[in-house]
Amino acid sequence: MIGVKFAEEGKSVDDDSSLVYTSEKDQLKVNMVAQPPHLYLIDPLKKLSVLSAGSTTKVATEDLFKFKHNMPFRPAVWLYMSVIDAPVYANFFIGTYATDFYRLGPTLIYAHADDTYVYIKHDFYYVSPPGGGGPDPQIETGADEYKIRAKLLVLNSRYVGQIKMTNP
Amino acid sequence: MTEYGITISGSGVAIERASDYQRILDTRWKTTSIVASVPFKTDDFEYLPEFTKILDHNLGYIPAFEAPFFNTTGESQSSKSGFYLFVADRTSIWFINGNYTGTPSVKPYGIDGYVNVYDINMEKDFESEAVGLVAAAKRGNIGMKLVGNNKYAAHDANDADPLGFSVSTDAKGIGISRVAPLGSGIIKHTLAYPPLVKLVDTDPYKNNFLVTIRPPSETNKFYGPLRLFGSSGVRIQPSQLVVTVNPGDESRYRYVMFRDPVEIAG
Repeated sequence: MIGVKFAEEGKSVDDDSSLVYTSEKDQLKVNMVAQPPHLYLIDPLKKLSVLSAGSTTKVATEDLFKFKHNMPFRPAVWLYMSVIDAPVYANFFIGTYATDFYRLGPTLIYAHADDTYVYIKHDFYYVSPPGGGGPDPQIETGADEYKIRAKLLVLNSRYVGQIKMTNP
Repeated sequence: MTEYGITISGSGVAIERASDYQRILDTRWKTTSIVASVPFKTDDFEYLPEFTKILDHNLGYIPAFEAPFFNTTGESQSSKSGFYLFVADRTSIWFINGNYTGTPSVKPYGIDGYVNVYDINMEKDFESEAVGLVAAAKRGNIGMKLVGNNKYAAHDANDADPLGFSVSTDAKGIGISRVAPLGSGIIKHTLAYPPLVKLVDTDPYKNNFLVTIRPPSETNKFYGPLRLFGSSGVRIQPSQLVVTVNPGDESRYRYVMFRDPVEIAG
């Protein structure tokens, strides 16, 4: 076996728990020269649109951002977000950061990848009030009152096998 | 202070001007190795909680992992009153599902996703040295590549995809700054930028050996940044984390701080 190992200062490379790097394992990393870029800073993410719900059982979804990742597997994606503008009633969000997903009232913003594309998605999540009946109300998210800045990393985590679970 | 070792900056960034996040490899810092990445797909679930083993990692410690997924219908899980939970012990990753209703006819939707396991020991505190933030330089045409043993495609040194190499100056490694308990109050850091932080719940079922990094599940009812159960949560700031942990949960959460800034593209 040929490779390189580095251990923590004063520790032995023979102790796997002390390694800070080994070429025997793939490292979590992001391609800095990919086109389209795999490391985005989106400033600002587009103004979020307003969605309405036609059913209590559906999540209304829109793609805020979408591009081909051109990788031979479904990659992991990490999303960092900060709120740069918000309505008065939620101004405590301004200047705060979130990772992976941000829930702003009834909306959820997160990144997601399939075999071809990377997305930043905006889901609208609505639960009807108890005791309701008749047609579902049409309501708006209010998400258009927020501006979000996002940083997206497309990482090299990937499938190494296939497991199909079927519950009884 | 370490006075020896190896440090490699990204292509085009002079090493003497490279901030921590611009360094591809630095032997003062621990890199993040991928131990396993395994997909899973389920049918609709039964109403009673079920435990399913997803994989054996056999690390001997509880590792950090993540489990992004979506349900197979695209519909809100709330309509099926289900929950999903991923947990780890020192040898395996488990998936737990069930519903809240106790009604046999209500079967939570199946989900489609994958589990990534990283060689981050969540039972051991870790802290690496900090390097100050400096200005970035322009990219250039020089660099290095190191062929590893786990490349995903056959290639040679001329391969254009830097992810195929164990180290490449065109692929940034995700370094670990700190692993530590998450207690209430102010947690200072010295990274000079607001970093990526991932949270770990060591006690999702009041069972001390279980750990999970929470996925964006409808049933978790997150409101705001890095929210945990109840009123517990974390806000990331440029020099510190502001943490609130529910009384009784003071020893429940741990965190991993990574070497990457939120508001800088490089």
